[in-house]
Amino acid sequence: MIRFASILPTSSTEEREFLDKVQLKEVNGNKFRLERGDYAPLLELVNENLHLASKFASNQIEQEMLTKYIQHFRSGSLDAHMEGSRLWVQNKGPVIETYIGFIENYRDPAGQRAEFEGFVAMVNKEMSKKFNSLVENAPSFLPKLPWDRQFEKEKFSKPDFTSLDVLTFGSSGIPVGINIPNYDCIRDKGQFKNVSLGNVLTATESKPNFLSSDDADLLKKYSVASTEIVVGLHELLGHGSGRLLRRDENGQLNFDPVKTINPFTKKPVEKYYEYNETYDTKFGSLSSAMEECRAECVGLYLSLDSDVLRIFGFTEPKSVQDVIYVSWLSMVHKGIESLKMYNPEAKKWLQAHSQARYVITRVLLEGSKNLVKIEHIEKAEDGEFLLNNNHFSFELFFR
Amino acid sequence: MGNYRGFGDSKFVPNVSKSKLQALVFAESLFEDKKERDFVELLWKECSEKLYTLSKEKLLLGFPPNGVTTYFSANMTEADAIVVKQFLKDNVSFDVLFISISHYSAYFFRILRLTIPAPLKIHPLGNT
Repeated sequence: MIRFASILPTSSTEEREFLDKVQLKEVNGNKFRLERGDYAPLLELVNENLHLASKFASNQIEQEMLTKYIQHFRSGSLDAHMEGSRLWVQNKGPVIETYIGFIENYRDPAGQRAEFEGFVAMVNKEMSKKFNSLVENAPSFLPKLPWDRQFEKEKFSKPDFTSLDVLTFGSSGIPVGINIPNYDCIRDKGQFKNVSLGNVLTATESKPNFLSSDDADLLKKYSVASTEIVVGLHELLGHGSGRLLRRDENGQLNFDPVKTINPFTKKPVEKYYEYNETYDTKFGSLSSAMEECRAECVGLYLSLDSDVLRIFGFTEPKSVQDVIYVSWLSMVHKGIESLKMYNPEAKKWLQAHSQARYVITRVLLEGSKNLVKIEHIEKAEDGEFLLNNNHFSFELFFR
Repeated sequence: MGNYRGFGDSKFVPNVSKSKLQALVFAESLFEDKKERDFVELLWKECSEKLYTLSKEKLLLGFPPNGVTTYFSANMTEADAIVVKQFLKDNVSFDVLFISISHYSAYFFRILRLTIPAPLKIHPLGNT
């Protein structure tokens, strides 16, 4: 039996097309029954409050959007929520941003059912301006990445990128950034919003483990700024860069087979995706971690660029040096902390971002003896230190 | 499914003993009347055991027997989830409005008997 979340019970004759139009109710001899009414008492409260919120809608789109959410929670029909989400994307640059419904599917072991969330946030205009400047300048940053032009899309499509400060976020966890809605049929048309949740970072700050008190102080001072820089680069130029080399069903390649050189063999690339292959099917359980690792590396790499740093307001040499130091320090720090997300019994990483940061930390440890040092200290009271500030050479990284 | 990390899906338990937490939850001064106390008693009975248990199959979110999930009734397995996926695939159409059924807000039960247990009725505290 499938039971959908809604206020109306199964027996109600109202708005039940989504239940009635299902024709096939059997799969390999397994019979299905569709019902609704899950979470009805709680959703009644939600709708009560959405009705109250409607009075404060700042425009027609928001008004209609709330009406659609109310309809969705009432009947359980997903179409209403999709319509609401379309309107949500169309509502460009509101001062108060909200979203509500069953949104993220991380916690369902089958990766399908979504967890309920609802948030209210205010636009951080100053930060959004910086992100917009990053978006505008993205085409000039892409060529700085250490791979050939042939591996990039022909045209970089500029996304919407806003920084919000969360007023309330009802869910099991608050992310630092979101890219919604999740419905592919809406996203495929290029309709989504990229959102960074700025004050989540400051709210979750606690005394860091493993760092010397000097490093802890620096981290405290620059963690917000460095995270904004790295997260901004991660989302925009990390996930947003590169393209898959593929052959379509007619045998056409989407790249120039002569000019596209494999940087490892220095010979033309020999392997590419066939038309029925995707990144996820090829890389399977490693795909999320590797994509996160790529995005984090881009963030770390471009965090050294003086043009990028200027956008975020860092031009004075000492503060430039410090914010870069903290960007790298916090990556290594997160890499160590990420061990919490490894289950030694199952020999499994529980979280893609954590696995990515651990890999980066290992590479930095193995790549250079003078960059990162981890010492075992019997008494951890006065701190161990990860990155050795004295040995950290900035010149090395500036091009 | 509350006390599993949103980041990593592993279980966490309160850093105080069950008896201490119980003493706090049932501190007399917190209740306006017996009705309210009875309600909290009901909730405590329902979740205190689950809150603290560290038995192996409860340590991670996932399909039983290796994990725990509330998106499916406890008698559903990973194999059942594949059937569910197929069922949704057979029936979902994204092209035409009003005939898409979706998994987003759905909860799955496997029915063994003809009558299914009613879900626990939860009244928000403020309205009691």
